[in-house]
Amino acid sequence: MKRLKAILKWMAIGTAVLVAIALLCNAYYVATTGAKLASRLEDLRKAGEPVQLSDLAREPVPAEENAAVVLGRATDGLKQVNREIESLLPKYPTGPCTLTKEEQEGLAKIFAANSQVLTQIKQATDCKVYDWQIDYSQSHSVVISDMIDHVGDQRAAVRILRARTALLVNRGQQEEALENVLQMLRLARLSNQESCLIQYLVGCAIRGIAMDAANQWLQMGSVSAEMHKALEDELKQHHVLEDFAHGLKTERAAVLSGIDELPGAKYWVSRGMVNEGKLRLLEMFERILAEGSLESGEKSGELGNDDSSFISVYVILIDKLLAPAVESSSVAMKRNLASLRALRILNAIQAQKLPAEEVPNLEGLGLEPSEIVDPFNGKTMIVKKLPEGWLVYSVGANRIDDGGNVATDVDVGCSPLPPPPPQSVKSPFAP
Amino acid sequence: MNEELETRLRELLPAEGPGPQLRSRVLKSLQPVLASVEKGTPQEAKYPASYRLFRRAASYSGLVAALLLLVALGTNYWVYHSLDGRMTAIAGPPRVDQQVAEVAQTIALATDSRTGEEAYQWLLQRRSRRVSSTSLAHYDDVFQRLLLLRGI
Repeated sequence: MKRLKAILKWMAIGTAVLVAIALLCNAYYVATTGAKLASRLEDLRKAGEPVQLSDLAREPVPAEENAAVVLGRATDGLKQVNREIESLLPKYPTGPCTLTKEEQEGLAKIFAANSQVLTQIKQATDCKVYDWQIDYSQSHSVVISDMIDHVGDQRAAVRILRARTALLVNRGQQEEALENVLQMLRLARLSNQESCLIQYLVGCAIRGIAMDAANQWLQMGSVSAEMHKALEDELKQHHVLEDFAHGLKTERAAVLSGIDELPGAKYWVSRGMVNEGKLRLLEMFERILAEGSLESGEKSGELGNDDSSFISVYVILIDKLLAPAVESSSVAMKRNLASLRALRILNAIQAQKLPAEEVPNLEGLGLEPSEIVDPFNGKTMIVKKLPEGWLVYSVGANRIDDGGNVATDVDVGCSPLPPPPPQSVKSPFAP
Repeated sequence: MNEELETRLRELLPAEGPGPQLRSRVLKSLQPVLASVEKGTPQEAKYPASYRLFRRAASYSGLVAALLLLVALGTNYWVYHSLDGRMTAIAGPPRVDQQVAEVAQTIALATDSRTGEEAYQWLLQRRSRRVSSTSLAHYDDVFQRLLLLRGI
């Protein structure tokens, strides 16, 4: 009995000592990771960058000046017009879309009957501010959920504008078509004012649709010098790199708050691991921001090469789940930037009214030297004169010149329209 | 019976021998041993000094372990507390979900502050499970109607 008591006593002492050592190790881990994290966050604060979700809140703006509010008022009308267009065109217009006479008449009727919706879209794109007025005091998951709810209006508006541009280009109404293209481009620019990568990618998608429509419009010809200038004036206001940096920085702040909402993150024992996860997050965003500014597709470093001896579950979550998603947004940004540069080059070439076979010197187009650089390989964008028109492209993410294979998205840029199908051939939108 | 035995023993005379000289010789040879025995307990004297030191430390081991545990807890508290202070200085006070706070305030009006606080915590947990702003606004609307019905 006495021996058992002694054994129990020593076991209790041993356990207490082990717990104490574990606690001391935890304190050291939390103190070292916490000090590093606080130092990094202080640096970001000093640079005026957001470090948490609530920092993303913006100053209130009058409703009439807010494109998000104006579009929000038209939600029902936007949905209605989209439903009508979808019933008419089973496939939405993209690329070189040729509409049949019936489709053109059908679209014209839809737009004539819903002129109020078009006016509301115009009012929205004339606004200077785009602010969803999301309550950023909410949790990360709720904020993201609210953002997704708001995306629908933009998507509906741009689909309507794209269909209308296709109609106007098919009817040869170039000036009205340009106005539609400019509205889409303005909507993309406004969208990028909002926070987080979701909204940045929505802006990229809108800009992509707008540039696709602009290419169709340009390749159809009959564009006056004033129209070329109006398009260039709008395109040069698109700062894809700055918008991407804004999207990344605001996303970083949102995810920093989001990590605290992950399962187990609120327990004190996981504090060190959470700190380490946040440090990895900051490292990842710094790397992608640096890569974005490199503009050559080169990688500035890889994750996982740090001197950390202990890999927390939060680090694994960031490396395996978040990093690939954020990196793919970097590729989306470069594709968008390449398309934008290709469009500006095409617009400048067409504005110069060059002789048919002459491939111009890009440096003489009046664009900034940086605007003719392929963001994927750092070389000059490629321009070719084809019988159907101009082909301007970047080598794309694979950094190989695939001969301007823009149609399959291997290369990125503006390609000429294929010859129109004979009248007997069915419309590509026909069921 | 015992008394008789003792009486007999007293009557016995010591056998002839060296007498007092032997006593002094025995005492003299035992003197160093006795001197060392006087310094410690007879039990400890059986073990080497290092073991005796260990045994002495062992008697304080419980106390040492408890102290170590206290120091570790204190260090953790200090680290967390100072880190929280630094983080608050950088990022501001902890976030309060305004919408949830408003609903909880309405509930507290209808009930009491403790229920309001419990509702706040419960709603916060629900929010993390993707309860949208619109459904939360619906809760608030329902509570406001209930308050009106109750005339509060």
